[in-house]
Amino acid sequence: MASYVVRRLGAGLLTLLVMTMIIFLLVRLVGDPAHLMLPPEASEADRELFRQQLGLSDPVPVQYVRFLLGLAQGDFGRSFRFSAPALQVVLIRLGPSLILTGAALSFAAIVGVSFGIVSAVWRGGFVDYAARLFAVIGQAAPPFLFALLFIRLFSVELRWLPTSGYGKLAHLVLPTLALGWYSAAGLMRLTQVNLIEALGSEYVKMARAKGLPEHVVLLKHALKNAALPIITFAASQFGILLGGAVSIEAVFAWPGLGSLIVESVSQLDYTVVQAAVVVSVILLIGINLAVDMLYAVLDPRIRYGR
Amino acid sequence: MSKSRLLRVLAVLGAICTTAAHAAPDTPAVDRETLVVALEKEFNNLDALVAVSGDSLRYGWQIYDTLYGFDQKGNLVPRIATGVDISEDAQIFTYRLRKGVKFHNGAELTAKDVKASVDHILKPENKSTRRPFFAPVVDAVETPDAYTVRFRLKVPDGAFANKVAGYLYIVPADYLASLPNAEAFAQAPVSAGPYKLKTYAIGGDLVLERFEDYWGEKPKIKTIIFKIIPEPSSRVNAILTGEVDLAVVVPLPDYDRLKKEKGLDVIANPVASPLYVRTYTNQPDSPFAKRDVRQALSYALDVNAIIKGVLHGVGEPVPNFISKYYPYGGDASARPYPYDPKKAKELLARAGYPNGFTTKLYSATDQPKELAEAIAAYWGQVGVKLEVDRIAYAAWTRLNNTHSSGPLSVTQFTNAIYDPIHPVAGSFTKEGTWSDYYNPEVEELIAEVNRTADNRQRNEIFKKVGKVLHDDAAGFFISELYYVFAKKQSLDWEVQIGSGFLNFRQVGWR
Repeated sequence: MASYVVRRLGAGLLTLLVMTMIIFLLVRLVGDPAHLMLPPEASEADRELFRQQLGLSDPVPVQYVRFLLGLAQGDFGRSFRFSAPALQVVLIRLGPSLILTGAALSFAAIVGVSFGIVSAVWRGGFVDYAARLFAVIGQAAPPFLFALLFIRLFSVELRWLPTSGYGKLAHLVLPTLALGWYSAAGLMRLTQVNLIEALGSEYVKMARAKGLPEHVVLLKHALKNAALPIITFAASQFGILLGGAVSIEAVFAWPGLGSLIVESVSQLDYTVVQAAVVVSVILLIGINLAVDMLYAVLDPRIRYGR
Repeated sequence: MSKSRLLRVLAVLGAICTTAAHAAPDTPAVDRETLVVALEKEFNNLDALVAVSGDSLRYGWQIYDTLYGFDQKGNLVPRIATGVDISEDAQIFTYRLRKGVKFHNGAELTAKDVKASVDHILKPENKSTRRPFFAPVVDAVETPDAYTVRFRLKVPDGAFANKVAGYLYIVPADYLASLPNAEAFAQAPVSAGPYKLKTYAIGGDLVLERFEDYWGEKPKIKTIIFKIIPEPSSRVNAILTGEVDLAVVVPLPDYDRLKKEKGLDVIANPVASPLYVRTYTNQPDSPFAKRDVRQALSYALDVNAIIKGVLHGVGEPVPNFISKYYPYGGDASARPYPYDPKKAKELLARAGYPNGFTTKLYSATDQPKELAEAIAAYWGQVGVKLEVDRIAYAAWTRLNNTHSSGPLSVTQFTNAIYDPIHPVAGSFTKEGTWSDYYNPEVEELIAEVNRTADNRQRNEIFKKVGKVLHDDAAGFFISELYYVFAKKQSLDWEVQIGSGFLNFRQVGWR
């Protein structure tokens, strides 16, 4: 197990290196901050001086090596937009992103899995149709459409919740629903399908034949066996939610990482883009590793390290 | 769920939406001592001497103070200075300072603080975006006594007093010197303006608090809260629910709808920033080198229809490049080219293009895409085919500033100093960054205006410049640009005409 983790971390480091290389080149192709920031009255000499102060007048490979050397010491450079360390800017914005993504994923897991169970157990009944309708609507439209509709209904018409903002629990409700519904719909379908399959399997018939109570059959036997694909899906949703939150963050003025990256690219704040990419890659590598570990715990047949 | 049941649920939902009809609330979002403003863009650097002027002008006028400032219409008015003497040759500017002006940290403002503020801009390490305005002209800043500051310039600069008012925010010398580095100032800025910084966190609200020791008339509002709401429809929703008192940059498509909303004022404010198509005129083989072609394409645009269709009616045709909303230089009696496709075809034929030609137009993503499309449609009617190349704003600036966005580009300028020199010299002189337009008559007039500090004389010279630019069809002028604000009716606030500045020195609740 330990050697597996080490190997995975090594591969992760390589991924990180490749990612930084790609992003380093790409952001530099977009534009030149000396043109964006300085007034047009600036002469070419002014712009060159500005580039020098930002460290952008050196050849890109030199800049890249300097970036890696800084990275090794935990120094991501300074954001010229905010006059603050780039990593600090990213970490400030990571918190709200994790809160929103976490809330959306929790919502998706709780609602999606329970609707899936309900729908599998009472197949063809009223709750099944309600849950299916929930899933179809959730997957039918992009999250930002729901975001706008929710604001219209719950904020502008009913005045129950604030239109946007960050800091209070009330601010979290609508973005969580808008962002989480799509994943909840996916989880509901997946749970339903897997559970139906498990409920029809031989071991469930066996358990029932032994006279075990129905809830034990359902939770201990059927659901545990249906859990693996559900967990894989949920984990993959985390990355998707983190990345897909950009439109939701914009609509709800949520100060998260997604909107920071978008702004930083359009403002050519290179250091922040780089720091944000490094932080998100590390985060995703960590999550994937954690999920793989979880597999081994849930299913003793899965072994790593050989 | 049965169909009828579903329909019943939907009917109930619909009823909630319609019966809860309402007017936007006209009471303060917080209280009568507080103003909540929704902005479209996050603050960058709070060091207004370093940050890009377009970004700093939101907080700059509240926190910082200047030697001279601008009144609501852009006329220069004394602030920290009580008067200024300008030498005949526009090379020596001597400011007399007000006594007893306090900084937010309690220190008294004297001439050495003015000098330190200029030095803060000039130091390359500080990466100030204002440096290019001062470095080429300022030779020396002298402080003959504690209340006198003298700027000696290397070259005459008739707009220098406006630059000082627009860009030179005064900060305390001792406080600057006490900081570990210049960037630390951005985290805790101190100046002498009517408001001081209360709290700010990256990604959060910026909260300002009235400065009780302000030398001038103290504002009525005690606290200003700036909320960042990037999504236009979310800003509109926030003002509709009353969560904010004032929303800036309201999207044009919402203009008419919000006008009908009770309890709200919707204000379209001219920003003295003509929206136009810039052209390179100096490449001999380009059709745009010929005045007939330029005039023809000016006649070929129905700007009134474009304003109505693309800008949702929030606009106004401009005759030339100098807006009439500048305090001086604009010519209110000048008229734009009328829409006359027949004449356009005649002129094109005379220029040797009876069948038109094909050319290319750049449009950055911050401009409405429909604008370029409308222009292409009108020019297509006289035979000129337009390929529209739409690119990201950041990439466009690099092309545009290096003369690589030829021959045409949709362009617009905001002006932070209320003097037409800034856009005119950038766009229509030989040395200009944005164009290769070269006209000896304009060069001469610009040289004259640079030697002239008197604004009445500048007015006359700029009017002449405007006429030349119009007659020569130096660009394809489309519309005055307006920023739309939505505010609660009981909020007593006057917009700053002819700029994108936010001025909250006079704000209050009725």
